[in-house]
Amino acid sequence: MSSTDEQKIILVSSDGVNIETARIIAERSMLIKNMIDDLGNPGEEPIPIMNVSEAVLRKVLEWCDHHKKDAPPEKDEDAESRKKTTDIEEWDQKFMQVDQEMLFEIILAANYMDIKALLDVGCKTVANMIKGKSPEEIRKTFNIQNDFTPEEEEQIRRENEWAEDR
Amino acid sequence: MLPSIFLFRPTQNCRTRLRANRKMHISIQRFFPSKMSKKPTQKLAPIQDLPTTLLLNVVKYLPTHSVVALSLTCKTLYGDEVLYGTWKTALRKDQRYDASYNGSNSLGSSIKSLQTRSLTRLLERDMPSHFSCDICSRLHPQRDPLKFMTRADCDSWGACTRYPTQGNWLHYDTWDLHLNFEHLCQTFSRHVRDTGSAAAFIASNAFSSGWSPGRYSGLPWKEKLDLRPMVHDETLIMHTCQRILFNKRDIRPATNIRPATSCLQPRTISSVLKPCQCPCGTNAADLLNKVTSMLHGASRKVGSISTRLEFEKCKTCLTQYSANIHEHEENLIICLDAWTTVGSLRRYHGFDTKPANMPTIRYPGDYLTLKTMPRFPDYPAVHHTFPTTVYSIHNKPHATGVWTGLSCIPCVSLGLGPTAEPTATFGPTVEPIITFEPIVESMVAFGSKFTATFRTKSNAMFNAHIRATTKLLEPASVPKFKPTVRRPAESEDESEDGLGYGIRNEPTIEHTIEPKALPPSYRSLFPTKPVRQTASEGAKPQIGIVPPAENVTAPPTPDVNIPAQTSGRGNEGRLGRMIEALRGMFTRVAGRKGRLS
Repeated sequence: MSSTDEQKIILVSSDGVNIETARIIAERSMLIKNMIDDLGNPGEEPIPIMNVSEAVLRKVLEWCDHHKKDAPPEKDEDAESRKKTTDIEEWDQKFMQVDQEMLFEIILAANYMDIKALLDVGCKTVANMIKGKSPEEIRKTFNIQNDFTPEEEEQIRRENEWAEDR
Repeated sequence: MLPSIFLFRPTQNCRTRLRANRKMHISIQRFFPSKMSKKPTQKLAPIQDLPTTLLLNVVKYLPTHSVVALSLTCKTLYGDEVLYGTWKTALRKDQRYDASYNGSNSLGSSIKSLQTRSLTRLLERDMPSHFSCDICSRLHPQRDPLKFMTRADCDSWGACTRYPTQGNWLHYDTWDLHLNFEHLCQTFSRHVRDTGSAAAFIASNAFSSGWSPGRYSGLPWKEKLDLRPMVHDETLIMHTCQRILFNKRDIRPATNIRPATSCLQPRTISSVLKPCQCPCGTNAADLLNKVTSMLHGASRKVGSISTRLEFEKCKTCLTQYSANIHEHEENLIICLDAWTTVGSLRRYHGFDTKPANMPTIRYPGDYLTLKTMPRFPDYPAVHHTFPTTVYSIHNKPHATGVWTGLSCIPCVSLGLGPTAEPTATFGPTVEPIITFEPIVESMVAFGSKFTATFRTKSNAMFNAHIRATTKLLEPASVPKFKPTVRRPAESEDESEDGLGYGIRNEPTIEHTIEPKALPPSYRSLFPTKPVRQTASEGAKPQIGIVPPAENVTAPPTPDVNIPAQTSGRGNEGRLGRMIEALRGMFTRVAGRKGRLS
């Protein structure tokens, strides 16, 4: 049996495409890692990734490939990284320069595949897109339709005591 | 569907009703949007489709005000109870420090919560009809205060309608002209936001009173005030030019026993010309002596700027001034130029302001940078940079170190002046009280080095020992907004002169500023191109406050109407100017005839 590093495994995307990748890369995903551990005999059976399409899966694996040598995530990372929104590695920033649909697909895939670091990068990217923007600017950024009527907006302002009548 | 009048009664809290409904086992997520008006279902944006857990993952990287902004984008996100709970709690915690504020201190803006302030600043951008109040951190309907007010107006005009504040004013008392600093700040941020440059701000706040008869009846002189803001690195420097014009025949020559006298008695000079806002009057008295000696000196020559007073600095406020006398054939103009560094026009958004490695106070930028400990655990420890503004309070100059955006230190003050006496700390009394005991090591006037040390005294948690040093703005530092100056609206007709005094012999008076007319410390900040020297003997003198001709034609701004003839489209403009010149000649002739008869 070859060493773990060289082992290849096959992932099947939601649209039925087989993608071969190294085990070490795929194991950045805790979902795949657990499945391999559970199934045993890695490489023999293709692993289905039910919720992720081929394009997104390839993108996610690209990220995993680049980060395959990163130290495993620590448990207390949450508190530490809380406010460092701008701290995104340069490579990750470039990696995240994709259209918004893909960005959110990556976030959803990272969540499904349980890749915490990628999820954080995705969420930070979205947070940076929101930060410092007014509601209208956020709407423009994310193509959100403003479905409040003027009366509703007025009502919200009143409830939250942001506006003074005089 | 119910008519909307039932759904949105202003007295009833929408969410209270929703909570009541939740008790009836109605899911709030489903219920809330349905309470709002329905619109045809549209495809949701990806962010609206994000599960709440992932949304929270995004939100944890955001400051509270951005979470609110996100929540206010659509009904889906506003109706998300978890998201709502996140920001509502944080905002409430933030706002409780407002409770004990009684509005007694007009500088108390610093105590209001940072997050709410940042939020209202964000919302302000979407609501042109409202502005974010720096004092109560709420949105007030846009008021339209007179840009320049009289004393009576400004007594009744508070910066905030919620709390009784006096506002921060620039008082040009002798001219009964008063500018509101908050208003200037708001105008500035609006202009910069809309146009990306400070040019429109400068143009819209330039002011010229035009030549008007002296306010003391029976005394035959004319007077004029020109006001021009200058902006460097977001610091406002207000340039005023105060002028008195009178006829030489009203000066009686000096004799051995009696000095020369004029219609301009010392009292009248000092009632019109005032170098700075300091109430002490030292500068005014000093100026009076110098002007009087200049006026009656022997060395005046016709058609020149005969005498120029050296640049003087006010000993208490950041004002520099210079006076000179323009000698015309029949008239004299006493001209007082003053430059006052008013303070920073910058308004801050959130924490990501201007990180600095070392605390500095610098002139004329006046930023006080402190490394502070966070008050709340979820606030990051960052370097804050605060603009400082100089005020005169009870005859004592104060520089407040805090204008906006403080979560940690309610107020910092420091004394200014040659005596370097530490002034008492003032600030709102809110809990926790954190006072600073400023110990000023040394203090020198504008353009010099300045070192001050501050220590906190009350709260152990904020034991920030701050050492501040000043430095002049480095020439290398590029101003963010290029100052583009514009000639103030010149509406006066120089020869229309009910009193029989007008500027004659100078059909077109050129309003130019000489390079040397700026105080030395400003010259590097506002470089002016050399102006052609026309003041050969007997030539027309140059008067003024207005910058070189190449700067005069600033790009037109929405705020300013440029008359058709000056905007000059080829022949049309030329024709307009010719008509103006002819009209001027005609009125001059008519004026002479009238006086002869």
